[in-house]
Amino acid sequence: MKLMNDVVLSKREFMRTCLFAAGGCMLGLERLNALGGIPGPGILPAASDDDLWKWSKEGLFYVKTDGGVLCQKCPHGCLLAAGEVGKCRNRVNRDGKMYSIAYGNPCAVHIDPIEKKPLFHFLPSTRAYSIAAAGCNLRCLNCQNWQISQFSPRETSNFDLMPEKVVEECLANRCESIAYTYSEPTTFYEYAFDTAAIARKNKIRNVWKSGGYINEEPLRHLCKVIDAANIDLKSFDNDVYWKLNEATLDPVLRTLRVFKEEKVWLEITNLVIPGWTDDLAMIRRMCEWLVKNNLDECPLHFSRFTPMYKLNQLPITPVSVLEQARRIAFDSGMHYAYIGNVPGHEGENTYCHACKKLLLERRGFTILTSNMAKGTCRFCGAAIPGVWS
Amino acid sequence: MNVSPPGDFASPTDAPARGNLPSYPPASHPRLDADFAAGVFALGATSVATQVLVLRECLSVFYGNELVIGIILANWMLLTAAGSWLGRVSRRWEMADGTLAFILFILPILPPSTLAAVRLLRNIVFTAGAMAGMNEIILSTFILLIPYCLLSGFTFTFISWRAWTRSGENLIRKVYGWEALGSMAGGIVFSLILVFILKPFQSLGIFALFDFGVALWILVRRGRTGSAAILALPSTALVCLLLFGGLDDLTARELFKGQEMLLYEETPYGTLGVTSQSDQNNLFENNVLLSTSNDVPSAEEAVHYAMSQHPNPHRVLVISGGMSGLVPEILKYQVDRIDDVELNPSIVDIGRRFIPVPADNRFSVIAGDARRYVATAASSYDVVLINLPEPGTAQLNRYYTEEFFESLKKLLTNGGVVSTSLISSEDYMSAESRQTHSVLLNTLRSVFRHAVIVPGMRDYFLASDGDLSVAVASLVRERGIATTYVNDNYLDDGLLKDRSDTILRSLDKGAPVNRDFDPASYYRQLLYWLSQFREKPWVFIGAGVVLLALLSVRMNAITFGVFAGGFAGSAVEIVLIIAFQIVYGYVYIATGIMVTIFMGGLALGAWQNGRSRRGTSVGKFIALESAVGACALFIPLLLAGLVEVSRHLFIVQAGFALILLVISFLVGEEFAEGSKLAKGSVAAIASDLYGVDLVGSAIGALLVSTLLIPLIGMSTVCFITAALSFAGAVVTAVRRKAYAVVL
Repeated sequence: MKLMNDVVLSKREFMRTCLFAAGGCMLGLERLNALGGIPGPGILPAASDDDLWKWSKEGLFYVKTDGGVLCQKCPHGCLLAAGEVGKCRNRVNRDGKMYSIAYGNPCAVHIDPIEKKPLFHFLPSTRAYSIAAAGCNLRCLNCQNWQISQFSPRETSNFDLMPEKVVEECLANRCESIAYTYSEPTTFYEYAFDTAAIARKNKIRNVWKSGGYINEEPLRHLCKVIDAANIDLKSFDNDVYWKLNEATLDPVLRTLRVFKEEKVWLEITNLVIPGWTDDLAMIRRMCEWLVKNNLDECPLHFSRFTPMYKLNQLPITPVSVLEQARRIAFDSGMHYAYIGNVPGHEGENTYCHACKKLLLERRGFTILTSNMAKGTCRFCGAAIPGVWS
Repeated sequence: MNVSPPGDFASPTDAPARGNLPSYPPASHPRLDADFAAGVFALGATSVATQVLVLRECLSVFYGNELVIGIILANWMLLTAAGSWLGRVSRRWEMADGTLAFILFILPILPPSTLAAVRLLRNIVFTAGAMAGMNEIILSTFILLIPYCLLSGFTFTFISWRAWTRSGENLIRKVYGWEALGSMAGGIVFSLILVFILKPFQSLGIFALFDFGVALWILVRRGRTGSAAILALPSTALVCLLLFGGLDDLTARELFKGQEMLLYEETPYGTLGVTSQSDQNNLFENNVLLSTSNDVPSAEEAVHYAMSQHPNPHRVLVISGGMSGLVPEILKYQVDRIDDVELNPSIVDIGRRFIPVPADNRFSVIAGDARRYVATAASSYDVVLINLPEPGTAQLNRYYTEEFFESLKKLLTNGGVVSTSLISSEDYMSAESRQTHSVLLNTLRSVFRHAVIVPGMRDYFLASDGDLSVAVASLVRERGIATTYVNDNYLDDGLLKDRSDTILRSLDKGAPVNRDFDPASYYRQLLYWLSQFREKPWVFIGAGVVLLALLSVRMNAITFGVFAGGFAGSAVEIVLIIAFQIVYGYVYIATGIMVTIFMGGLALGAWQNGRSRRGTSVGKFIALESAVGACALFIPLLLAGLVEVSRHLFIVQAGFALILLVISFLVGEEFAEGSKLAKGSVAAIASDLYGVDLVGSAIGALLVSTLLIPLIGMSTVCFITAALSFAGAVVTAVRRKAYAVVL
């Protein structure tokens, strides 16, 4: 039943009413445009189209199937239908082929002390020319570099730096190594591999800083050009791995074994996060597994957590917990265990695994005292595992 | 498009015939029945305390920025509006006189349940220690608020309807007035008294006591002593449980699983928690780590980057952070005096108990707003260390503006250095970081001759009229300061310079300068924060737009007017509160008083309208709409004048109080007048008007604080608010014949 004196606003009146509000919004939108900003010199604006671009290259390790291309680079095994993008955000299916869209377009280029990776038994006090392209196959809640790892190269501002140019820049800056780091080099594999191959010819070493979530075949292929790796062993529990990193444990453990078999210098980082990965019993199981698998000579870095990215409602790791973890590592038979992100701590020093004496007194990237000669302990003569020159 | 949907009067039995609808002006001034008045008063009082408490809890458990505040408030208003709409069914029910009493028994059980759910489910539903995603925040706060908001909205319509069936008069304006009065009283009791002496569950116990008391009184008054006797026991038990059951500590412990909770305290400025883990104590503010007993690198960066720039720093001003291990580092220089200004005095007390702070007579703590302190201090300083979180809120933005840096500069000695910081973008500058960094650097450079960025765990911005250098390791070595981290062992000056240059090169020289009334930083900080979430809340934004579109189609001249009034009310309230904080500094009690004045103004407006002997007319409604618009237009003038008189505290306070009172009075009266003019059943009018008023306020709160102020500045926000109100007046004028009152 309609009321007699119903008040109905006509469409025109409604539009008129909204005009004022719309005017206000327009003012706002006009300002919104200003937020895009202009990229700095040498940095390319982020692209957003789906087509292949200058920085695309057909990827290695994939098979064509009826359902699309099946990426075999990492254990996620993304099956990409036409036009789809992989979990890592930089592998695409175009015309039935798998392409990497992260070839020659790093978004981060820096020079770092090698100790920052961290690598303590690999060319100490040298510098690494470090590059990263956007994308990652993990989803760590505490990612330090989420602004590049959780985005596609199409969303970041990138440099134009093809492999030859990377090597040139590395030489020009007198760096002893090139590090593939910050985000996840597995996802810019082709770019890293080609760069590493050219670097080798120029007597530059190659460093792989990764979460180690990679399949065996691409990994063994990679080992031909890589000299050292630091792999994050983020926990020793599959459930934690899944919740914290969206990955699984076993492939990472296989990666550690393969690097060792392929004789690539390997160091391992374990970030100790309160409430997530600070279970000392788990740390003991991890150390025992490493020893059992002949990885006892690989330096193990227990790193201090600070609230980061989404994991911002937790405390910093107490130093005493890191000290306990380090003690457990030694007790389990690990030869070299370090404490990271706690400047000035004696856990930065290197002690001889045989005679337990101080070999390298280290503060950050500075060696204050060295009791090593040609890779051996000056006190007992034991050969200290690592790449020292 | 109708005010009342077809079928509103379908049954002649459930409502008086149209001929019986009250006509205006009424012969006398009917009073609202005492039990309805008391019931809606209790509703208003409980709602305001619940809103503040749930909001604070959600902000501390999720994340505290303007957007999250806006989302929670929008959910609150939307659900209450939905509840008031559901209240329409009350006219189909033959409800006994005691129904209101039973509602008042259920109502106070819901807020503590909501609070407990937030705390207990935090680490079960969401990942432990991790920030919840945008969609999760929107959805979970929506679900959490459903029970309380639906019931409270329902009750408003229910009471309006029952009051009409009992008296034969449309008393919506009275119901509205009593609710506003209840909100005002609840606001005063809670924010000015309870918050200082009781914990959240205990405060809710006091309100439960009041609600139960009113409910029992209604039952007894209606002769239902039997029911009253039966309900008295469980309600007493619940009040006792809330007051003495230790629920606060019990539930708070769930927030810090795996850590030993040493203390959890609500302060007017936020929730402080102290936990212990191994040999380390952690101080949390709103669940975010504020300081740790053993974090030397952060303290060294915060101090030495700036201190080493000055050849001879004697007097140091620290803006927050005295409890973060900064003082021992500052004392490594030959200083005469360290003044630490802390907004929250409890941080100092609690910090001293749990975090080692050196006893040194050169170090003194000043409790108060640093903005105010800097504006009035007579001292001068060689170095100022600002140790605050990012400018992610309007409140924090005040410490990153040109005006603030200018007043800091007046305190600085020749060659004095200022240090402030943003989240590090050490390895990569995203578009969002570039914007936040560009605005801050441009703002500093508009005041100081030099400004540099030293990248570290945070990116430190140093500014001075004297020379500055990024080579901090060399500076610290030259000054002979013994440090653990800020030295040549950990920092390579050459590499640091490279990284600093990379950041500087990527910045946008054309980015705006951050100003008090044109805050450019906090919206950009909000965008940076949002960029952490891959999943964008498009579904919810879409749902909001659809809802708004539906609402617009249903709106008529009166509801549009009330909507614009609701918008104007909350927009002006937000503008004035932020402006007051900028000029006078953040004072907890002042904010409480302003909110109280606002609620009081609404009540007074509605009350005065009820008393008015002039009856009702469309002309009056149009005049009120125009007056609201005129008030909004006046505010930019007030803001401009404020800066001139900012040293005269009384004028500032009186100016703010007066304008707030006038506009809230007008909005209250506009609502009351609208309730008389609107056509349809009382239940429909009550739910429509209350609903659009709430939706208008919600949109005002969300849009103004998150988008409009940072994008177009406060003055333009006032112009838009005014335009909306004037538009309402124009629409009503066009449609005036439809509302002409038949006498």
